[in-house]
Amino acid sequence: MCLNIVWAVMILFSAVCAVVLGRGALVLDAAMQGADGAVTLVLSLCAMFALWSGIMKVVEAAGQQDVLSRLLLPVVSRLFPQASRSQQCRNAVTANLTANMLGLGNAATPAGLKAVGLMKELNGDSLVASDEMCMFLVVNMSSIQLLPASVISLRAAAGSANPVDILLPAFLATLVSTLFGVAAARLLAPLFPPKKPL
Amino acid sequence: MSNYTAPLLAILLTGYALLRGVRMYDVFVQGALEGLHTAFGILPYLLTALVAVELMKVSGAMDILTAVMRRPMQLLGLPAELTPFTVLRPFSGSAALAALQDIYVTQGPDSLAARIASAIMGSTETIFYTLSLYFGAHRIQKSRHTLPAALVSMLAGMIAASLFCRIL
Repeated sequence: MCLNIVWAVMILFSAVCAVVLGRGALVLDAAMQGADGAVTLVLSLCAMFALWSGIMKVVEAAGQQDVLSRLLLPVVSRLFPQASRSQQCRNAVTANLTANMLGLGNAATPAGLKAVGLMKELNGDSLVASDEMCMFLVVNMSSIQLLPASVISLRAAAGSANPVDILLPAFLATLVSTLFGVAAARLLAPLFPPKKPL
Repeated sequence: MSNYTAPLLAILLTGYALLRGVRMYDVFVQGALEGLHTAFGILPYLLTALVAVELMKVSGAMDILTAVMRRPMQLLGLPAELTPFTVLRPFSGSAALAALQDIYVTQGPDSLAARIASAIMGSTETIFYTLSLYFGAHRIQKSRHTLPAALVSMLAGMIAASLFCRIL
C-alpha cells in the first residue's frame, strides 16, 4: 500500500530535518504528544460516533434508504446502462451509492465490492476495467455525502460556535466534485483504450 | 429554523420507524455499539498519523513542505495551513481526520482554514485507498482513466470547497 511509503517518507524526512536543524532532542516528546493527541481525539469522538451510528442504524432499519434509492434509479441507469441491465448489479450499485450518501460506510463497502465483481462478470471477466467500472469508482471517490457526521462532531468537540455551518459549502463542493468526476471519466475514457494487461 | 430542525427530524424518524415496525431500542443500541467499535477501530490509524504529523512539525520538516507547496496551494486558492491535510487526504481518512483536528486546535474550529478543510473532508474521498480496495479485491490490473478522473474530481472539490466557504 502507498501509505507504507508515505508514512516512511514522513518519518525519515522529519528525522533528517531534526538532525540537520539541531532539533533531535524534541523528537521523542513530539512522538509521545502525537500519540497522546490521538487518544484524546478518539475519546472525544466516541460519544458522537455512538450517537450517530445509533441514529443511522434506525434509518437503515426503517428502510429510508429505499426511498433514496428509488430517487437515484434514473441517474444510475443513465450512468451505468450496461450494469443496469442486470437487476442484481443495479441493486448493488444503488445500495452502495445510497449508503455512501448517508455516510453508512459499513454498508457501502460490501455493496460496492459486489457491484464491481458483477460488473467484471458482465465485462467477460477481463482484468482490464470497463468504462462503467471506472465511472463507478470515480463516482464513489468523489463521495456524494449528504451529512459529513464525523466532521461535524469533531468540530463540535473542538468548541465550534456553529459546527453545522459547513453543511451547505460541503454539499455544494461535493456536488461540484462529483460533476467534474463524471465529466472527466466520460472525456478521459477514449484516451485510455482498454488494452490487455501484460 | 434550528429551533425546529432537530425535533422535527426526530419526530419524522421515530414515526416512520414505528410505522415500519422497527424495534428502535434494540437497533439503536446495536448501532451505538458499532459506532464505538469504529471510534476505537480508527485509533491505531489516527495515532500513527498524528505521530508522523507531530514529528514533521517539531523537526521543521513541515515548514519545508509548506514552503514547497506554497505555490500549488495558492493556485488552488487554499490557505497554506492546509498543506499537511491536503497531502494526506487522498491516502487515508484517519490521517486526514488527524490533520483536520490539528487545524482545529492550531487555527480554531471556526477559522476560514478550518471551515475549508471541513468542507474538503466532507466532499472528497481517500482515492488511493478506494482504488486499491475495489480493484484490488477483484484483481483488476488496468484501472485506465480511473485515477486521473478521480484526481480531477478531487481538485475540483477542493477549489469549490475553498470558494463556497469564502462566499457562504
